[in-house]
Amino acid sequence: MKKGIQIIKWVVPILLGLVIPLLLQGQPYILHLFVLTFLFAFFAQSWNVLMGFAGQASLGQALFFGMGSYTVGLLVLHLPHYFKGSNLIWLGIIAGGAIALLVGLAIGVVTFRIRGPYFALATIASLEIVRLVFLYAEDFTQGGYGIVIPHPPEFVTPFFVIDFIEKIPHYYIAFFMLLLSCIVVHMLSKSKYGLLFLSIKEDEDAASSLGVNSFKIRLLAMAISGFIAGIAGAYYAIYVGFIDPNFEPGGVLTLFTSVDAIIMCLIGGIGTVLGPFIGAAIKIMFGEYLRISFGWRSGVDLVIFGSLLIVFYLFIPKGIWGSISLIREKRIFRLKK
Amino acid sequence: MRALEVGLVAIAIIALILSCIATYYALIPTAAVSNMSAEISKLKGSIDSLSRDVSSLKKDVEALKGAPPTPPTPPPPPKPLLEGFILRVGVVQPLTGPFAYEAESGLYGAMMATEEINAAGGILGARIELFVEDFGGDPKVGATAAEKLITVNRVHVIRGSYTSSSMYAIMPVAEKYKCPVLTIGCSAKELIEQGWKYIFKTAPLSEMFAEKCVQFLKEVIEPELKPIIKRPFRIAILHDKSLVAVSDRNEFLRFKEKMAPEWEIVAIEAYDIGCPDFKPIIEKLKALGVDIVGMSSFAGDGALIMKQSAELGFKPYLFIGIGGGGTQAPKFIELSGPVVQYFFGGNEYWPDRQYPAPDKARAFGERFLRKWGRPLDFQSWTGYAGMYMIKQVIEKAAEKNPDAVKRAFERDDVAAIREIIKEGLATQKFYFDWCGELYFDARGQMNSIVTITQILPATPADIWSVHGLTFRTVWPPPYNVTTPVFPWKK
Repeated sequence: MKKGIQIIKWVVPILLGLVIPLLLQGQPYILHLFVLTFLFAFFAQSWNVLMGFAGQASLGQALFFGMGSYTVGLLVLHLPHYFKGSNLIWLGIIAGGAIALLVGLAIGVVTFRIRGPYFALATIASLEIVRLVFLYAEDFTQGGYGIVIPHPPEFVTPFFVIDFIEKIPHYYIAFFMLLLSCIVVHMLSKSKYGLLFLSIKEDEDAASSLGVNSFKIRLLAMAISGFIAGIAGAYYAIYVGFIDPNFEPGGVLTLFTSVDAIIMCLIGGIGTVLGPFIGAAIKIMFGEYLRISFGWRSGVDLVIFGSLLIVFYLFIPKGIWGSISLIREKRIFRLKK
Repeated sequence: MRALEVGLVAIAIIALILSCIATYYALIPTAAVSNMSAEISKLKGSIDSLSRDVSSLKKDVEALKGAPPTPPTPPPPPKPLLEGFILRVGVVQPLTGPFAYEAESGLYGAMMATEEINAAGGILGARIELFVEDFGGDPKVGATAAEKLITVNRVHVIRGSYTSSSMYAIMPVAEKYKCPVLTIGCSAKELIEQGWKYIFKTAPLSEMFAEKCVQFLKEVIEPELKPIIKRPFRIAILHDKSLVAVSDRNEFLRFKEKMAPEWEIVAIEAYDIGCPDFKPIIEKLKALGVDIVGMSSFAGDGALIMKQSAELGFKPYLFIGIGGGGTQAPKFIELSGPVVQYFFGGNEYWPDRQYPAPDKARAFGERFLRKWGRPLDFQSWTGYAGMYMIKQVIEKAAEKNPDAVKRAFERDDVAAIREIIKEGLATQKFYFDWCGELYFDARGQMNSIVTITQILPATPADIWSVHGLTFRTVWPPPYNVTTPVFPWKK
């Protein structure tokens, strides 16, 4: 019975997710919002692994996102014969994840010597260093010009054609990316490594004294987080079609992007599987609702959203799904008592 | 506390669900509404016709009663072709964030033109309705806003979006739906090199600014300065790392090689937008013995450079803006203060120019200042001119084929109206006596005229000034209103 309920809890949302595009045909704008929600939920999941499960307060998540984006961009720029306007660009997503993973390991080796707020500052510094390198290395990255990534062409098979200019293919790509990340994070949380992450998060010194190699475990968390964020960045570059390293809202290598992931996890619930998705849905869907309702009245939407965030942090510090999970656990505990 | 947590969580979930539902229903395709408004217009036409018949009958009845014959009333004027219809124009601008001031200028220009056109009877009777979207400078939000304007609001044309980087995200959306985009701002040359068919770029290219600046330095400054320094110029270039500034730098260097290869570029200093301290750079330039400093900066950065140069006693023979960025904005003078006097710069529009009708250009500038409390600038004029271009396009199309244009509006055939606007912008020439002739080339680039302005002391006759200074067009003839003042002679 319990297993049945578990299966239903997974199957029902998946089926709903699969069916939504059929209900929203002729509504590309809404589908676009769903794509952004799933994509940024996937990105927020990367920070959730690092902070929510392993307790490493990184503010440089955009570094991995940006590395993924620039992997795709540089493939288009330097190997246009193979990747520009070609479906081979989808391989860039895996390459983006791999590069970001390696960068995560490299950053981790240097920054894991320090902890807490100093680690957070070190991640910001790493992000800014890489951003400035990309900004000034014009011959390699085109610097402030940015890189235009053309849409992949139609994918033609004998049975169907996938047109990547339409929103529906991107909806399913982003949906399955998010689904995969939720499955991976769920399995991770239930595995031995999940327990090791938890031990590091709760008390790193105590865990070390019990024989846990905290450095290796932190590196593992950083690698997984970097891989997920890199894939998110690579797909973002293909979907939006343009990246640049300037310090502007929406810049792929900026603190703005790191903070997006953090806000989504904090709203939805850090350390939960569904928290990043709920947070992304609120930030993107509700944020868009505020923007179209109040947006051009000199940023009233930003004031409203900022005020809501403050209320959240003060009264729902565990986030929405975190609070729901806590309430359920307390009820189960009371019932058992 | 637990009850409060539960309550707040429940409220948050309900708010999210309600907002998703509200967003969905608010964004139901307007096709049904548009079809209804077309039907309502038809009904209005029928009602007007019936009330004319009733008036005529009343007169006949009076005549039959033996009342003294009333003089024949003149026939009513013909109804405007597109009366009762609406032209929907989307505006996507970064109205919050670092580009808000310039973006607002562009929007205000478009709004002022819209009000004027609607007050004068619209476009053959059709009223313009603006749909304004703020994207805060974030390209992905810009793409979202464009998607909404095109698919939900079903706009016929889009104006925007100030930053060239956001246009890279917006244009693929516009191209997909074949919606013309008549830009406000966006100077990067790369925008017209992507093969897009629906972009109409109003801001001058970096090469247009660069060519004029180098030409000015060669033809006007060099004859005055060379007798003093007795060697080729030593030039330093300061620019931020934005797309447009890098483009400005590259084009300046290209034209310098072409027109004055003997000049020496002694330093090229790039900085991050919003750099808080330029003193190390300025000290370096001071040590190099620079004659001329060329700048491509946003207004705030440019102002800080000027202030810190004055503070450190760095006085090259002249400063010149080499691109179309913030140094041509009135805000540049406002932020810099008196230290910016004698600054030269490329300028795509200033109302003091010797336009075909300078009094009308001046009146335009005065009207804008009165309405918005800020001077007309390089963003607001394209926002304004673009709306009149759209008006002329539809009027010309209606002149050639009135039935087709009327049918398109009657049926609210968005695709047909977009094509009418696109074809018109691509093929027509536009003439405004307050700025001259404008047209778009095959790439979608407008033939803007760049002049050199100088920041000089204002007179009571000037429309606008701050810190006792204003822009004056000093070159080339016949557009200039005065001659340049050489700073080293002051």
